Amino acid sequence: MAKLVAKKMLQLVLVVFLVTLFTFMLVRVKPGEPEDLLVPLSSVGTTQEAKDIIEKKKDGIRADLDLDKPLYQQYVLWMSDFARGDLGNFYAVSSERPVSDRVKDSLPVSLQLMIYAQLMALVIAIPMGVYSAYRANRPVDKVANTTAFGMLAMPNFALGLVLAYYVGVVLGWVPPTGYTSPEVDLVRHLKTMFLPALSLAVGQIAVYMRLLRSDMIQTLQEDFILMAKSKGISNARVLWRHALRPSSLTLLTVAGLNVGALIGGAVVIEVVFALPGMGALIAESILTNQYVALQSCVAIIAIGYVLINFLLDFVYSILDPRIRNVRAAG
Amino acid sequence: MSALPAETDVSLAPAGPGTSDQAAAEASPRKRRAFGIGALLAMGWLGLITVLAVLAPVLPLDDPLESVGAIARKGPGSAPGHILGGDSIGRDMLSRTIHGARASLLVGVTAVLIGLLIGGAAGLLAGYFRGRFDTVLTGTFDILLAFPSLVLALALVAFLKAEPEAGTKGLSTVTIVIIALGIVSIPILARITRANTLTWAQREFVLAARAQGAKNSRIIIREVLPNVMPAMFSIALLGMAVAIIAEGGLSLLGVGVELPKPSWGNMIAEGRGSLRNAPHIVFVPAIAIFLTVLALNYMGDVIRTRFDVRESAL
Amino acid sequence: MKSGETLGLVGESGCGKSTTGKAIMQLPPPTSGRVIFEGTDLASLHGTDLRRLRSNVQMIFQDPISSLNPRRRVEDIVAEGLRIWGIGDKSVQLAKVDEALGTVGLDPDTAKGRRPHQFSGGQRQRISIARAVITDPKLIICDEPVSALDVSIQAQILNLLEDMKARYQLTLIFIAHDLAVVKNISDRVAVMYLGKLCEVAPPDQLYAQPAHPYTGALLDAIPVPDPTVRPHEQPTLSGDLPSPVNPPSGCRFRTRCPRAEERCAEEEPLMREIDSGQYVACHFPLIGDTAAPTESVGALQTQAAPTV
Repeated sequence: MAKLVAKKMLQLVLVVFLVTLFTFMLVRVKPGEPEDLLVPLSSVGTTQEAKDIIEKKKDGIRADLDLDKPLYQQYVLWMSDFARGDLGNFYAVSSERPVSDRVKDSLPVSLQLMIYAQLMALVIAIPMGVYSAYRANRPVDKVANTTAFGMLAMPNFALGLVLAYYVGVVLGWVPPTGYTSPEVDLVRHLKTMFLPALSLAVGQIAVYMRLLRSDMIQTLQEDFILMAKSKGISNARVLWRHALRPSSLTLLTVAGLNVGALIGGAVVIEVVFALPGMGALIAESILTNQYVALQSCVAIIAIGYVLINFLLDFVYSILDPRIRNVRAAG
Repeated sequence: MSALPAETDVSLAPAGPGTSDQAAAEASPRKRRAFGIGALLAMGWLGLITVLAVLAPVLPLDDPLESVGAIARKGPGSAPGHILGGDSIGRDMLSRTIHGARASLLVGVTAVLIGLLIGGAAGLLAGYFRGRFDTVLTGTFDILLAFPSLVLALALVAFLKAEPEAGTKGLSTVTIVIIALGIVSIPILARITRANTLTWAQREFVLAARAQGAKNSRIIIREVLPNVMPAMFSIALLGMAVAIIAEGGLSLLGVGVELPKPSWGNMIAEGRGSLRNAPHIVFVPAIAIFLTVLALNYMGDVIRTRFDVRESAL
Repeated sequence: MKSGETLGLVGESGCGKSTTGKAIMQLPPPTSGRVIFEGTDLASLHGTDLRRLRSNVQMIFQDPISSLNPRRRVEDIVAEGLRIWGIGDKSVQLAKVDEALGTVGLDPDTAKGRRPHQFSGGQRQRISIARAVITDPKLIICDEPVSALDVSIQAQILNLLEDMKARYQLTLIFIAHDLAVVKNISDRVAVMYLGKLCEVAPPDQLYAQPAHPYTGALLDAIPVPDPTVRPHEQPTLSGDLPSPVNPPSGCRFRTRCPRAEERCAEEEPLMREIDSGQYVACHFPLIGDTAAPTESVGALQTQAAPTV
């Protein structure tokens, strides 16, 4: 077991290194000088005075990003700053604001959105999947399956806009866009998060439901289910206690695989519903050429994604002794 | 992004190449099932929009970039002569939707083609030759896969979106989106092709071909590729759907195909501002994306069940 | 091996029969030992020479499903060998395909356009045989060609192989775990244990008087179709097959051998001729000078039978 942990940790460190290196190179290798890209030259004017200001600014950025040093040193310095929570600055002509301030506000919003969506997806998908499997190939199952197939084809942003229009504008049940912090007003917070979370959840619901259905149809044909039934255990109990449990591992795996889609979806949904999360921050950084901020945000998301996968993989190998043994041996 | 189907349908197809022995047991020729009504509808829709997209410049449509009178924000049916109404500044929605199909389909098809050519070839070689080449390739792709795909696409778009140097024109936004989504699709397609190649390359007919003295290149093309093709094709269809959606996502983030040239994605992004009083500006392209993605997903499924495609080892 | 003979290669599963077959083709090349074909060491061949040589040696595989490409038509599968080497133009190739399919007992006109899944297991093995003989090879390695087939069809395929051998003057290496199958078709039989040959002899001689204890045990394991004969009270072979990656020292069979002595652990027995045409690698063979007849496994059988 200790060996497994050590091996996994080593893998984790390697992946984090490569992922951050890739992110770092993406911005540094970009054609053009970084300091040119960060300062919108046109906004100042063309007078001598303005040129001086820009030059001074550029010198400041160069020093800030250690651009005079060799590339590998730049990476090491960037990484050590990053690890200490210094995510660089937003560079504007007049001011410099640390990226970390914005990230501190944005990250919780994105996490809230993803957690709500994931919970919503599981709460809806599990009963649907179980019931579909129980009623396999009956009308209920067929309707559920067709619905799930349709859900998969609905882009979350399009769904988000449709929901925002009908539920938010036409019916007026919840605010169509905007964000309220839970500390300010919890009820309003949940109301504002409902539509974004639902838009994000729909695709996941379809995935989980279809998977759970096919998995459970197989489980229900196994002998131990017959055994349970013959002991006179009620249908509901057989379904929920005996049949669902073996499928939980599959569900967990797919949930892990889906985290990437969830993050990508959250980025877009935030923009659609004007939530001030990481996605909005990234979009803003790209549009205003704030590559330092972009680099930090992408690195944070990538590391987060790698960590989640690592944890899931780990939980998975603890839950399933077969995998634990195979992997430890290999 | 809606989930990449490639990543999610892991165990939906229990049938693998091995199960074809049942078919073999009956010596009579297997009757090919005719395509069902769903598949016909799907193919019909895909065919229709492809033809419309290709012929858009010669069709008698209004100029998609110019306002055509007082139809701004008029919904479908309320503007005579413009069945889908007008957009926020009075351009014909029908024309923009058809011209938008050009950009969206171009992005979908080309990005996946890049993925198929590079990722498919890499996966085929890695799965066939194994060894060090395989290790290096799988390792490289695993790094790309360590990013959420849309975030990677965003980072790549930002990378490619360089300020044009004096005197040169930078890459067009369509090209940027295609390259970014193409790169994102490479590791996914490589992975699936590799997994399929691994199972097929171990079969005895490959050994038989080598016993006959066939070169590796001949074996890969004649023996392995035809068997891996259905899986690649099925994933390619799903990939196109994902790429079309991804273009929409990038548009909403402001880095998709650049206005005023329409794509379904940027039409939705642009129409967002008029959602309150003219929701059709968003709904029309949204429905177009929905139907296209539905058709692509459906065809992907049809091919998969027809050819017993296995997507294991993902 | 002599040209024109059929060598049967037997042994329990996992002992390296198939690996030997593939090693002969250099698919992959063996890690040690040499394969000499018509005076050429195959390990010395590379690239085109090796590929050309492979076409002189063909293989027929065990699994009739896996050995034919499901996406190609039978015509293409059979013609592949000709096309690889550019033998003849299209019409010549087609004629050869027809001929080959005809000789293996398939109707060329109906078979050609079909795909492998439209055939039964026995028919598929016929296609495999047609594919193997079309390039006029000198040696065919049959890797358990009938073990996946019904017993009734096994005989047909075996007869077909015999016919082919006569018709094309083939040399056959016939790999099987079924001694009865091997007995009928082989001129000589080689018994293999953990990757090493332990006995080589003409089948009649081998079956009548096995020299190696392992051969004796194998023969004992053949079920006797006589209800009055009770299966042995004691298993003739106990224990698991040792790992072929890390075989026992000395004689590889000693861990399971009823006759093993100290010498067997220290010294690997060499192949020696014990009777005319019968070769054995054993320090204490069941027959000949050093064997004590009362201790033979064959004697055990006669003791067990009367207890009925």
